[in-house]
Amino acid sequence: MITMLLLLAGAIAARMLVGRDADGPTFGLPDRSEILSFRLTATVSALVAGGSLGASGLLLQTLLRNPLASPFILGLSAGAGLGMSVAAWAAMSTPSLAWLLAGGALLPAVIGSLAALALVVLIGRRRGVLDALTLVLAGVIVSSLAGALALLVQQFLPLETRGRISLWMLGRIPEVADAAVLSLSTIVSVLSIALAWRLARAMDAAALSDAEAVSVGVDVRRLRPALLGLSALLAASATALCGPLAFVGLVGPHLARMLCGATHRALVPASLMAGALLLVGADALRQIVDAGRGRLPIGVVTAILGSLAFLWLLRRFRPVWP
Amino acid sequence: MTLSLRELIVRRGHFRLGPVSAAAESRSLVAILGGNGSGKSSLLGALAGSIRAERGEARWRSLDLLAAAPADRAAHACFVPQRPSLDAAFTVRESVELGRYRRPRDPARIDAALSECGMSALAWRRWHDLSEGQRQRAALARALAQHEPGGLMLLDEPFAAMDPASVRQSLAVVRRCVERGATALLATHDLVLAGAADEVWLLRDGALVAAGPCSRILTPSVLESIYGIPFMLVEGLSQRAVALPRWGDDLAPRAPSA
Repeated sequence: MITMLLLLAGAIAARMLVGRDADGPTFGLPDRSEILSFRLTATVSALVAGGSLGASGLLLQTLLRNPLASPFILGLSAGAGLGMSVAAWAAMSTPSLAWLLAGGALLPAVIGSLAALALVVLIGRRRGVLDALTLVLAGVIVSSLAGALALLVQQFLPLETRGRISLWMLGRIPEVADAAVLSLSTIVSVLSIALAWRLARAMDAAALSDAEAVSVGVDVRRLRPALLGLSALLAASATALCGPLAFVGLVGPHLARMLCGATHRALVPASLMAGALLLVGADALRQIVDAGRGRLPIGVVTAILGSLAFLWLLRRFRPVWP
Repeated sequence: MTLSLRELIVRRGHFRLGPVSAAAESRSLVAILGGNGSGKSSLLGALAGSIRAERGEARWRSLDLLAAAPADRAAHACFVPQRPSLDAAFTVRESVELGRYRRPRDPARIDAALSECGMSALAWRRWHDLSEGQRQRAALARALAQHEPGGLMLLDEPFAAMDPASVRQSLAVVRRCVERGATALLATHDLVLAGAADEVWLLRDGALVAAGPCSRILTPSVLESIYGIPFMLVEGLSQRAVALPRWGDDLAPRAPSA
């Protein structure tokens, strides 16, 4: 846990000390206060979104007993994107529905995320059992479908709105605060993670088979919807803030397990920190990489780093995964 | 009777168990025998709360096992499956601590359970590094950490992957719990193990066809009617004669070449 804290502190310090202007990367604390404010906002956004994705991935991996589960792979992020696109279209066509976009369209994102997860679980059941491989395949199907439907809905939006949503779909770390989105996402994430931490012992016992978990006293029928709801809330809040980001929710919990063991009282905060570390670190890294014009989109950096990390995890842990 | 089942029916897909009516005393070890798919696991699963019973009644003292909340059931009954399953990163000790999920933490109980099941030396080994037999011993230790004297033990082929020494040690653990007042239901295919029980319930095609003391149930004629192969009595394996399958000449080993 201390190692994780130190690594996270290092990533935060790196992000605060690294920036980018028209000439390329800049190092050290900026003289201008507004630039310092940009960096601070970006760091806080990455901490909230990364932490939420890490915790959401952990809940999904525990709930589904599937080391490959993550909000991106299971289509939660794409579902949130679809929810937000539909909300933008609904608000444009019916002005009285403009309230749907309040707080960065967090409510439609949560609904989209929950609907995607429900669909994945429905498709992923074989003879009443959640099969690990079928679940991942169901996630791929739902993710593709939600992504395609989001693009379809965007066809009906004005060009300017469509461009904004397309950029958001690539992933972003906001440097200028949309106070409502940032504060709402933070509140939702903090509350969800606090609730998840309270369920830590139940999650430990839920790591047994269903029959064994019930026999030691876990009310699996109540725990499962609670974890599903929390994981969807966390994924939706991260997606509303930073767009759909791959691999953070997958790699974060595995990194946490390597450093902090298997019990959830340690794993919940450790996964939160690992997700935050990955996203803040990736944001710092993209400031100093020269590739084409401007900064690399954060989604590109997390996908490249995350897939490499996942490949390493796969090679190292494949023999022990069920 | 401490455990009483009345007209219990459990349905799993096309399979139906029951109606089963039976009873077991405290301080008794009941072996449940039957062919594959005869309903042993369905019966134990229904009592453990992991399989919903369709109809009937199952009472443990005053507790309705079929309607009880998981927490109430866990206070009275522990369960060991044939194939214990757990997240690969848990250590043996952490897996045993899960038996105390609904009870106060008690490191001394955990140490004692590990020691009784011969798992103290493996306490810090991770689940993915254990053999199937070691996992079964860890699951028995978890049940022991959960079990209170006089409780109900539901054991679904818990020793199936263990070596003979581990089976002996684990059976001794269960027997000690029974001596302290527990009732244990032990599903097994091992007739020698069943011979160590106080009573046997015999299942065939989802029906309880016989129940009673070993001396009356574990006879060649009864077992032949269940399994459809010849049996013979073998003396000297335990305190009582044990009925074991009589292999035909077609299964005889090849004679060594000169």
